[in-house]
Amino acid sequence: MEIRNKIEYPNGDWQNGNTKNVTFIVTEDCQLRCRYCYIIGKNTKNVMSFDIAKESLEYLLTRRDIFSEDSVILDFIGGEPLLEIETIEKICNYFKFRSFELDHPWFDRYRISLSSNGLLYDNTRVQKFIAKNRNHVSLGISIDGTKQKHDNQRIYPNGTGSYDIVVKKIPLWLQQFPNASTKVTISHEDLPFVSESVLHLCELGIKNININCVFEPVWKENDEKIFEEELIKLADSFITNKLYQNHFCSFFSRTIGKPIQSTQNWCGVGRMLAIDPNGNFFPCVRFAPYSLTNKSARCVGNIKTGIDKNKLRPFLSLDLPFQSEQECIECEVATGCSWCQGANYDLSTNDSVFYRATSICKLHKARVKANNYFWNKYDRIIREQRKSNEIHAPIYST
Amino acid sequence: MNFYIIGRNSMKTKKAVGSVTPEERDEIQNLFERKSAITELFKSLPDINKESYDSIYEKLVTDLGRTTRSFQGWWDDKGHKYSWESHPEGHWEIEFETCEIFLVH
Amino acid sequence: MKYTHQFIQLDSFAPSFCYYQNNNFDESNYELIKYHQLHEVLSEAEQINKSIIVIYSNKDLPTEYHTLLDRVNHEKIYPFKLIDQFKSGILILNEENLSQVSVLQRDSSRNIILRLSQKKIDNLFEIICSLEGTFSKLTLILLEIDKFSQEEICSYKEQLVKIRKKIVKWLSENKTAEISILTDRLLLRHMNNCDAGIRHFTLAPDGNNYVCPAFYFDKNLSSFGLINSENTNLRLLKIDSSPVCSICDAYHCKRCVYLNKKITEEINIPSQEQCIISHEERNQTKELRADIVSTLKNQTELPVIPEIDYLDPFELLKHKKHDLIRNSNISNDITQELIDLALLTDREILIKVYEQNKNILNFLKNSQH
Repeated sequence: MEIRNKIEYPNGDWQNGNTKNVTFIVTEDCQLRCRYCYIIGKNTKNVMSFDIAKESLEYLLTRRDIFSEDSVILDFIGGEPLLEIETIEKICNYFKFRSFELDHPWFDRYRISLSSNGLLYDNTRVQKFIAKNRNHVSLGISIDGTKQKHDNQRIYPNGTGSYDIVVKKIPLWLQQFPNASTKVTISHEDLPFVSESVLHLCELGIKNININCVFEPVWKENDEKIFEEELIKLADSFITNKLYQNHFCSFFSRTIGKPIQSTQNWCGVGRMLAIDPNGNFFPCVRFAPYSLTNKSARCVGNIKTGIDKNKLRPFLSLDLPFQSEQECIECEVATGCSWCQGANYDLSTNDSVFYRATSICKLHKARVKANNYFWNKYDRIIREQRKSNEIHAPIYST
Repeated sequence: MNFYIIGRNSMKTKKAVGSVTPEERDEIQNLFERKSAITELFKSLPDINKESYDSIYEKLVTDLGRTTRSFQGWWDDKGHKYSWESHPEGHWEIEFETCEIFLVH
Repeated sequence: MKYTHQFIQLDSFAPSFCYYQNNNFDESNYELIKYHQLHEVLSEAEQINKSIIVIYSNKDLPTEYHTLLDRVNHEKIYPFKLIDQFKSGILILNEENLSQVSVLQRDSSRNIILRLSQKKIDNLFEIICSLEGTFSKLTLILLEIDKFSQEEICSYKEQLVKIRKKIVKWLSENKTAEISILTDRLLLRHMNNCDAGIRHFTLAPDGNNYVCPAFYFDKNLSSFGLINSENTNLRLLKIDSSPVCSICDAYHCKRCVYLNKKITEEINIPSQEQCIISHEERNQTKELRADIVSTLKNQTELPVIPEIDYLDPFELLKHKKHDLIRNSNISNDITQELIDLALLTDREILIKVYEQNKNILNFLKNSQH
């Protein structure tokens, strides 16, 4: 039997990436006040009405000259999007109806995506929505690891943690979405818990674990040492317990830690479209007013006047060399060093998107070292396994 | 012979009985997507206002019929072409990522 | 930054000579440059041999200002109302002045800046013909460029065709025929843009130095145009910082960074209309070159302008064709004057070569011929 390890074969891009990602900011409210959340402007006032969403969809569906992608992902975000599940349902219903009525190519080429804190996952209305859209919906729950790590950051306004409630939703979630992924965010205080948190998530049955370190300058001296130690511990556990067979952890990737291979921009800013409750368009949710601390929002149009192609132009012009310092361009281990365009802009010294925040530089380098450790050990183990199984399948090459 | 489709890795016990070409896989995947889209629009109809409902109902029913026939036709056609192993209580599944066909029983 | 010249805007009523607008003629907000600042700047410029361009307004200056300015060699930019006062310099012609152009005496040494909105585009050829004989160089500034519709751009192109043919006729009659939008590109082998903030800056009446007067007048954008060490926007002024401009060969384009910031919100990204208009002009210059070579049998070595299949270099970025273009433009840099290279481009390979051996670049240049 072919040895096919999940760590090497995470799910690929749907539709080979020729997909328009449209994010509806359905609410700016959330039950939680996660410490690391970049959405600093949470409020109960700004909620997307169905009329705004409907007008947005009309624009998207009737302007094929602008939106010519083969497929679409309708992404719902907040705050906490499940607070507005009724509106989300109406939006999806309208999309299905209208795209069918227009014979639009997106009618049978769409996905629905939600990122949730999980607190309302088993709510009747939410469950009904999932059942009605079973073949199209993907719902991610953010659970950050152990109770200690999760409750460090993901707290209610009164300071209490949300782990005990969220963890109860996980079995139902995994039953309905066996290959679901979680998004884990790491900040300075979380570093000592990285390894045990990832392993805990594996124990819970979560197979796809996507992890990011926050891009904001929260990192302290020696954080990179702690991070590297934790990742090596994790690497050892992943291999010893053969977790790589059925689990994917985004920390470990064959492609990171090399000199620059591509000058393409890291994220799809400008290619995606975020729509706020007022019907304003943004190149990404991170450029909406509620998620910027230091800078003004970068609006690229609205439902009345449409996309302003000139305001969108800088985002589509972005690529790596034009926002990076020479040190980053020449870095020997540059690949996999990520950035968030919104964070770049918010932290920029010049109010420009042509700026790259590099707070995670040392952490990236620590990750590269641990990643190399992991793959060297993994390759050794796999070679031995193949020998003992007398399998002649080719060894995965880097 | 019943047939189902799995989009991703399935936890069911299954046996590989053949494969199709990427082009053939695309055909059934497109049909599956359309069938799912029509089915899920049907599920949404009770929540849509009556006027809109009436305006598309007939077109939707026609499309469903056509798509279901094509869907069924694909399995019949490929089953015959490749002579896959079958089982009276089993069904075929396709793994979209690898184009493999599995017999599940 | 190595500044070769400096603009001095004497007061807040100074007319615009470029893409920006000055609509603030409220007496209560009038600001005149401080005498001591003017004196200081003029003295310094004399000492370091920096060229000075002074922008005059209709408002009378105190006598001591005139005395000070008359002592120093400088270029003047002045509004139509002062045509009798200044016999040399650069005249600004706005739309409202067009009805009075008949008073302009024939002067084939005059430089004119003609500022027009899209409302006048259909009359552009007529307007230029009416100015025949009154200028040696006409610089056309199209206002509110982002508001040009597709139809207006098409009309503009039709006007360019007519103007091009007129230029050929003038040249055949040995008449002066420099019209920026068509003739500038003829002789250029590399970018020759406004370069505000790179080669020059402006001292404004408030005593601050700005990239150009536009940033003084537009209070919303002032901070982006201040010349000081805290303004990190300035690093984005150079062409190497622009993904679009660094692959473009519409070398005559002004690359107005103020318009960039105003329209796209990024100082280094031009608007789509700016790019398309510049490329329509560039393409007409290509035709002009062909006319000159064939019709006039002109032996001057005019640089070849290659055939291209786009009007907006941004399309190359979208389709990932830019790396090829970027590499080929390096060869254009080698043809420049050595002293300009450090200003125009910080492409690492050229600077490193120059630092290693100053003779290598000369060798490369000479071997091109």
